This record gives sequence, C-alpha cells and structure tokens, in this order.
Amino acid sequence: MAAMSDSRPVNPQVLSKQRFGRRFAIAMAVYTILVVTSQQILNTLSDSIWRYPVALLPVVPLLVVFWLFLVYLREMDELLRRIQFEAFGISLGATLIFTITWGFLEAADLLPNFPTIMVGPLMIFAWGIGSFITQRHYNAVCETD
Amino acid sequence: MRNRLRVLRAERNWSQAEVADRLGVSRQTVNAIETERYDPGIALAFRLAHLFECRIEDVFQPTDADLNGTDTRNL
Repeated sequence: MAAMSDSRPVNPQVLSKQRFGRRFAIAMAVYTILVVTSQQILNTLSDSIWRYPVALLPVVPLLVVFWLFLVYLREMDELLRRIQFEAFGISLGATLIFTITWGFLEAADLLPNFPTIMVGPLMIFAWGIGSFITQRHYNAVCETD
Repeated sequence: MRNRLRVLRAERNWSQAEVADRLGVSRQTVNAIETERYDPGIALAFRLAHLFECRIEDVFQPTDADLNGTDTRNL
C-alpha cells in the first residue's frame, strides 16, 4: 500500500474556514450598511408601496450569509459537520422551549409581547452555546504543536 | 473504539496538524479521534490506515462494548 505524498498539502478545511470568514465579513458589512441606509430611506418615505422593498433590503445579505453557511457546512469534515448538527439541535430545542414558555406566560398576561425579531439572535446565541458544549463533548480542541 | 493513532503519529514524528493536513480534515477531528472521543466513519478510517501504510485493524481495535453494540459514549 503506497503512502501519501511526503509533501504537506494545503488543508482544505483551513481554506474553507478562511474563505467563509472573508465572505461572511463582507456580507455582514453590507448588511450593516443596508440596515442604516434602509432606515434613513424609510424616514423619507411615507405611505408608499416602496416601503416594503426598502424595509426588506437588509434581508438580501442575510440570504447570502445563509447560502454561504450551507456551502461551508458541506465543505466541513465529518466531525465538524456532526458538531454543527448537534449544536443546531440544541439551538432549536432551547429556542422552542424558551419561546413556548414565554408564550404561556404572555397568554396569562404575565409577560409583554415577545419581539419576533429577537428569535433569530436567540437561536444564534443558543447555537453558540450548543457548539461549545458539543465541541467539549468530542474533545474537539487542538493540541499545541 | 481503541486506536493507535498517537503511537503511529509519534513513530513518524508528525504533529496532529500534520496528520490533519495530510488527511484534509481539521485538527479538532484528529484530536477527537486520537483521544477516542469520536470514532471516524469507514472512509476516514481507511484513509488513516492508508496514510500510515497499515491495515485498518492496525489502527483501530474494537472494544467488547463496540462488538456487543453497548457503547453508549455518544448517546
């Protein structure tokens, strides 16, 4: 059985992570610009049909981020993808339990209306916690070489 | 699943990063396999054996729990 080449190849996982990081940063910069710009334009538009597309402008870079992440997910190796899968599960479960609990308390007039725009950040926060927990579970940390 | 990844790596004086680069996987994955927290899929297990020029059984040895289907580490 022949050994692989002695020369050390460029790791596709590292390249993929760097590529995602660059593209994500650009998309989020565009998102920030569009949030500010669309608010400024909305302040000048009253009772216009154009308020719909202008209000939705920041969603475009979010769709790009969504697509970028799917590409990144498919490029991950089997353990990293598994970690993400379990982190998504934790995020989904935590968000469901939190929002349903809030909903019951809201129905009993014990809490105010939950702002729906906060569901996304809540899911992302729970996903971060889930990633941390799952990485520790698999001991998926790097030794210092 | 027990494995001899640390020994095989030490014999060649390779770091985890070096093994990761040669396999095209992340360093985290190499570390998780080496510390026996994660059992790789069959394709990656074969690639590991190929990298170290040995048979898959020379890298991975199943425990009784693996053979009996009673390994609950990942449940």
